[in-house]
Amino acid sequence: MANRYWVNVSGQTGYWEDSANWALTSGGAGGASAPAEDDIACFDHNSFIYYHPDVRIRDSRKCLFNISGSGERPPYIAIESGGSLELQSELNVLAQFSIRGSFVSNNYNISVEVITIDNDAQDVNIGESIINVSESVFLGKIQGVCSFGSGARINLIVPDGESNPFALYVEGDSNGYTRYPDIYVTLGNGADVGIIYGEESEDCVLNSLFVEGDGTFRFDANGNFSNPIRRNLKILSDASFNGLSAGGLLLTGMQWEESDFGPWGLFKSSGLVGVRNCNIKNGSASGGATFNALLSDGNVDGGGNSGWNFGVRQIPNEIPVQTVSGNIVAFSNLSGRSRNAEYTSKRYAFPFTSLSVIKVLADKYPVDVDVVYPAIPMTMTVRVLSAKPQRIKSLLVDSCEIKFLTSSKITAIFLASSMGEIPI
Amino acid sequence: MLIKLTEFGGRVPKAADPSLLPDGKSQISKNCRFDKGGFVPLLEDSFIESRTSVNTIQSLLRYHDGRFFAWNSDVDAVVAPIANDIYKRIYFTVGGQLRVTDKDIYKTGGTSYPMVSYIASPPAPTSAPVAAARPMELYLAVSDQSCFEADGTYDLIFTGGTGSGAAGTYVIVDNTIASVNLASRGVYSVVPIVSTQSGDGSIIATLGADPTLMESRGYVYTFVNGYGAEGPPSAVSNLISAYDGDSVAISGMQTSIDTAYNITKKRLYRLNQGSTSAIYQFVKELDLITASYDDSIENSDLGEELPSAEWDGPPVGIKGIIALPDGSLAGFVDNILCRSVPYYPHAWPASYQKYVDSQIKALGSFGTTIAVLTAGKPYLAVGNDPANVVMESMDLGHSCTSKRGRVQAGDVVVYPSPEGLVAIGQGIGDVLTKDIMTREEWNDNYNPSSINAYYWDGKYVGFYTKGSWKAGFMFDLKSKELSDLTFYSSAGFTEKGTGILYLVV
Repeated sequence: MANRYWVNVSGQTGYWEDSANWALTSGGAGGASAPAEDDIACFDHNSFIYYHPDVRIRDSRKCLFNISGSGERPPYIAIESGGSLELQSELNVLAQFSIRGSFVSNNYNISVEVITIDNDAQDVNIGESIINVSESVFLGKIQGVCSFGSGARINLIVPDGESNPFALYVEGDSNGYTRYPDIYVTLGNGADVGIIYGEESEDCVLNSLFVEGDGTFRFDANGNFSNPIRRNLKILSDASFNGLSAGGLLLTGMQWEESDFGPWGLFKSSGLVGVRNCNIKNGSASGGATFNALLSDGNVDGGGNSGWNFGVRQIPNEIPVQTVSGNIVAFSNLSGRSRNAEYTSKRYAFPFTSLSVIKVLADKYPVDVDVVYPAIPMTMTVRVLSAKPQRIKSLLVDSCEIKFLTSSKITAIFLASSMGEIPI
Repeated sequence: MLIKLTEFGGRVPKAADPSLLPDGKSQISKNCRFDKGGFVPLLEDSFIESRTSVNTIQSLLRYHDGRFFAWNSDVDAVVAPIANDIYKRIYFTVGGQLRVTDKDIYKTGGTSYPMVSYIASPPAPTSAPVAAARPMELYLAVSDQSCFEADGTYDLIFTGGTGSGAAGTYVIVDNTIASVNLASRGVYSVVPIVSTQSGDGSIIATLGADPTLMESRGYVYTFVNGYGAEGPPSAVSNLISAYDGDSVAISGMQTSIDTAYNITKKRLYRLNQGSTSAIYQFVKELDLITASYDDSIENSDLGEELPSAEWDGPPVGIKGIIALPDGSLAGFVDNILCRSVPYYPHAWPASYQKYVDSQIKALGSFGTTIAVLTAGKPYLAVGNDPANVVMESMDLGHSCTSKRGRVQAGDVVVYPSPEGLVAIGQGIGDVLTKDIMTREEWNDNYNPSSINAYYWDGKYVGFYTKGSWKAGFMFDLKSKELSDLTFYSSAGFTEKGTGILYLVV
């Protein structure tokens, strides 16, 4: 393992394979070899002679990253067509991460202002990584396979007072190559942002969408924004819009670039969509889910809507509808066979700390436990295989919830910062 | 930093901020229980049998032989409060009627049990009997023996009266009537005058043996069904005068009735006048088809007093029956609380009825007290004897929103109100869910007017509908832990003894 420091002697744009851009020491002379597998590619204050240095990868690379001291000048990293990058560490503090070639995250997390997975990208494997994004996401039509693992998600974190629109552009994938991401949007106080749109001929499809925070989230093209949702937004799993300020969620006056696209629609096949403080106009909601936009929750029925429930709250928890089939059963009486049961604990709040160990006492294993960090927000699913303490990905957090869906009897769960804190 | 989740508990909708939940409470709990230590998923259900029902089954009962009675309407059923009931009867209210089925007829002709049932209470006969005194025989008594005639035997002279056939002689010895010999008593309805040849002496003719027991007599009769249950009496017959032992012809009795009543017999009673009162006493049990009867039974041979003078059936519209520990049943119609005679579940005297100021929604009981759940405040019907019940209103003023949501949990009655789940019992009157959810959350989440509920293992197991949504919840009555159920049942039955809750799912 060796360190290689980006010194970018060749100008604003530099190529990864060019040894002139790499030094053995911070700010040292270029000419060292580019970082190879298990090496650390370092970007520090001496790397940023140029504003947003543009680092381009056009061959196959695999390494660790250490990006620090970038200040206002974080680098762009672009994987060009034909190039590939496989991470051996987290990839943080990027201005932009653009993928036109191939990429494997190996479950490492990424922090970036803008992420673009271009139309021309080849295979992209996001695994279970969490991509924290502060500006925009562009997920184009992937030419290869773009996979998001079950724990993968994209966090859009909008700072206080932000009013510049960000774009979440998820092009539809008629080829079925894309596993759609989970999108979490956290709005800072006073933030007034948002655009989610699909490509003209395809729907915008997300696995799940959660919008929380204190600002205003807009789907529409009115007001400050010029880009409309061009087709229906489809959400495959969960959706919620909670805790927004008085501006809330605006689903107003969808504009269409072509008139034959029909009315704007929010599609979800089952479960619950809940919105608060929303002004909904000319919006259709369909697909089988329950769409709650209660007037008592600060929502406004702007007219022209269909599929939205503005009246009495439907069931708050997603409970499947069952048809009476006419069987007679003895309730909860089948010895040795437990049904799946669900539990979400209270929210534990504490000073910022990292949690890195979990222990679950259950009558049978494995047990899948979701460790939910609501402030980020993110959920980490942990498969617990035995009663022994088990390490989990460590994150600096100030609150968490524990959630599980299981047929196992559980008598205790411990979450700790270190192994030594776990009771024997 | 160590987070310990060692206590698990039900969800608390009332907590707006999940970080303010008490330790051991949850934001979401579904299909689980917390009374066995830790988080315990409910067991899966045991399949019992399949039912093909076009309509949704709303009521269920498991009979003693293991077969299920199922109804597509709201039916309340109880086991007959009768000792050693050889018929194994089940009484139930359906369509505003009290009906009864038994171990034989419930399975007659098919498998949609119960296949056959009868109206439980025999009605009063619609026609009164007609009584007619039979013409009577003549009896003679000498009231003045002095008769100045020569010794010898002479014919008696009969004049006047209505009837004929009397003939006899008298014997004179020393100017006195020594004896009277009535060779033929004849048949009369009005006595003739009897005299000697000379007109001396005095011989009194009477009809009947003992003129001191002449009485004004009336008759009633009752219907008796195949189980021996007796209904209220008919209107009284015309009154006639008769002497004890005289023959009276009874006719005009009803000989047929709707077979839904299962009437097989009728019982005849006769007014028997004592020195201080008159009571109807049993004369004879007759087949239903018997139209008439000649009564010549003497008073001393009459049977028991008519027991069913007030044994009317319950009012039309009866529903919500429950069995009480004193052997009686209770039910209701509108705002009327009705009771049966202990151990006579077909007999519901009108004098037992009590009225409350709101429509009754359901009944429950603790001890011998009936909890009367209404659309207004609940009442308690207190008293060991159904004939002497006192109604008391409860300070706890919570109405009942769903008849089918009422659960008898041992000696506690639990029911859904607009405020939450309410419990009433001896010294108990409380909204059980008030600490975990507000009135609004209760109504929003569980639509209490739609709840059908059952008692299971110390828990209130309720199912509700809300638009197209159908789901359930389980509330532990002791620990007050709430868990949602991700399935729906339209009907259920908790079997006493085993405690097994059978559900239609």
